[in-house]
Amino acid sequence: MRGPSAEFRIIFSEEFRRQVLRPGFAFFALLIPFLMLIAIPLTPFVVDLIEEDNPEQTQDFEAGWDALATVGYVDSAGVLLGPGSLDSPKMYGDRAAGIEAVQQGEIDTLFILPVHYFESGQVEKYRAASENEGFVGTIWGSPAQWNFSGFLSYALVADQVEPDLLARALNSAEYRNYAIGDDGAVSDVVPPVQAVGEIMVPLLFGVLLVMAVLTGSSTLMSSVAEEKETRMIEMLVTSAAPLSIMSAKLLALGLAALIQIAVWVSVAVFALPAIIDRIPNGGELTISPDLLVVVLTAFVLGFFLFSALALFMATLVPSTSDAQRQTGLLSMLLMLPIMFIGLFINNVGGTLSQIFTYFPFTAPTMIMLRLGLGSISGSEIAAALGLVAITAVLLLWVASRVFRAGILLSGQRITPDNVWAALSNSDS
Amino acid sequence: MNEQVLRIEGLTKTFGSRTVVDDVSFDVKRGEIFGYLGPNGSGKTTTIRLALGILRPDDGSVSILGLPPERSVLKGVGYLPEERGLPRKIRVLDAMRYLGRLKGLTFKEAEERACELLRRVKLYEHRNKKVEELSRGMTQLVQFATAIIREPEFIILDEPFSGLDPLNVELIKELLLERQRAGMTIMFSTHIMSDVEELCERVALIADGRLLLHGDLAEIKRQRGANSVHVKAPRTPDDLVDSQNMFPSNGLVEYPIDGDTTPETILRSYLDAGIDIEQFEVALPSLNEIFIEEVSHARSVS
Repeated sequence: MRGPSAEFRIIFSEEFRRQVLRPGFAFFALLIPFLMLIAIPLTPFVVDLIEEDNPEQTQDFEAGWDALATVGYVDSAGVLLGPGSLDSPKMYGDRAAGIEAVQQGEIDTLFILPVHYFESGQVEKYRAASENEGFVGTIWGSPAQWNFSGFLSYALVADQVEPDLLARALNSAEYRNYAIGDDGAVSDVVPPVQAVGEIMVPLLFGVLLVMAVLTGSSTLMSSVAEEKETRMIEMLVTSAAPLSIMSAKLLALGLAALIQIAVWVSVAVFALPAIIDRIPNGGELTISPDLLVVVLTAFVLGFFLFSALALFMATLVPSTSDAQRQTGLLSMLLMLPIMFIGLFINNVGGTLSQIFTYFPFTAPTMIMLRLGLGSISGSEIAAALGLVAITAVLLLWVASRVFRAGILLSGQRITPDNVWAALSNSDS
Repeated sequence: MNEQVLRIEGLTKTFGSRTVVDDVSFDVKRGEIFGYLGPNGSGKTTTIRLALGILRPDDGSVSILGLPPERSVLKGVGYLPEERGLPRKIRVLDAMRYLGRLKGLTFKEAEERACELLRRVKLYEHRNKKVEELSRGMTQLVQFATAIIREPEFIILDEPFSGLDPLNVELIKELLLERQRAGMTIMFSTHIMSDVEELCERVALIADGRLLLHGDLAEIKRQRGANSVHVKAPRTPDDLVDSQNMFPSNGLVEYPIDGDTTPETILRSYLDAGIDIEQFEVALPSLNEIFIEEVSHARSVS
């Protein structure tokens, strides 16, 4: 017995077949596992590199200053003690000698305390042009700079303070965090290493969502636009209802995307523990199952919403090339919270953050960002994801009506009256 | 044979201020090959889309297989859109199987029928090529095969011969006649009159959205009357010498018919002159002549 669902199944299976047979599907499905697998042997090297660039601070400051072996300074202000027993940083008598040392490669960074240092606090930093630290280094500084600051603090007061007091002053606190609940109960706050997991998982899925929407919606839009161009649409609407056609396309794409995620998760189950084992203190890194459920739900609903939006846009554009051009707009919407992160990172519960949380097209990424930043309640997540789901269903319904109306409008001028008449007459 | 497979009554469709189909009525009877004629842009494709429920009429009604053009009814109708109608980026066999299944065939049935029809149109070896890799003529043949994949009761073809070389035109004609003999009703649109004269018993002619002619082709020609007489005889009567046109190749003499000259007066001249007549035939106008005359007249009036 064939019914409307028979046409849905046929279109669904055909669209699904097309999705999984396109070259991008296999590439995208296997790329992430491939990266995870090559990350296993590479992790120890990356960890070593990071540790090389970020030498661990110790209570023994003079030992820590070994990291200053390639740093030199000139004390024009005459406020420091002098090198004393320290081998590093190296002291130079004047600016010319320091600059020559940089040129000769004896040191890579030269700090000069000008005559007015005591009053102004200004320190000049010199490096070879070829060793430019770039934008981030200029803004945030470098390990050499941070270590030199420690040395500076030490050298300014070392002869006036007890060594133990000086040691504590230079490393004044190691914070441990506790949270007080509404009922007064005190609990541990997520330790730093675990927090890395809680930040990385939502951010990783945020990036994956953008990638999935970019590739999936592009295919979907091209498929609908091509059917309009080739008049396949006429063959389809004489056989199936527009809502069946649209929902079959959407669900086929969704299933293909879920298969990709299943592949990623399956490989991640084996690869991530191996990667974590190779990271110092990696054993402390845990990912809460609740977090995974929320992130996956936001991912799936977000993907369906943007696929429905892609379908809707495809019903409006006249050609395949126009459809492909519109794909960028979709990802822009999704990336808005990431683009504006600077505006709410210090005020995660602020107005902009709230708008992005409840606006369905920014909600999936905003929820993931807020999960990463650790400031969104369960009720906010439920309300925002509910809005995403409702919008996706409404958009699918509207897309099917517009799809039908687009055919009814064939040959007519697009005026508000014509569009309204077509929408009113179109069945879904 | 009188059962109406398609009945269109007072069909009207306006796009903005332009009336594309204006109060058109005609019918297609079971088992016939029906020609829907008209110059380019006359409203043929719009009429077909209205007949299939793809577009909604502003006025008038359509009955197809005795019912309104709903999806359940359209399962029994094959349709070939003009030039296109196949997904370009999938294999020929997959495209045919997909559309066959949408028309109600099972996967296996659709596959078997697709292979059978591809063999029939001599494209079986191209079954694994993508549709976009085929030539225009090949694509048209695949589309035709797809339109009949379910052996529909009724098939509507929009310009089925466009883009085909003469050999493929003959192949499609052969297939159409074959399907008609098997009981299929066929309607096709075209602006090529020779195809219609060869295949159709009944026609409708549309120009600028208005129906100019509808009915039995032979009857239409008879109604238009004779436009010349062809005679084969040893010599010509003296009174007709000035009005004759010679056809030296076959020995026929043509006499145009006008107000004073009729087939009867010509015959009388031969008999009065005692000339033996080997062949005497009243030539009816060709469909091409009727088409040009009707369309020109309609356009001069409007």
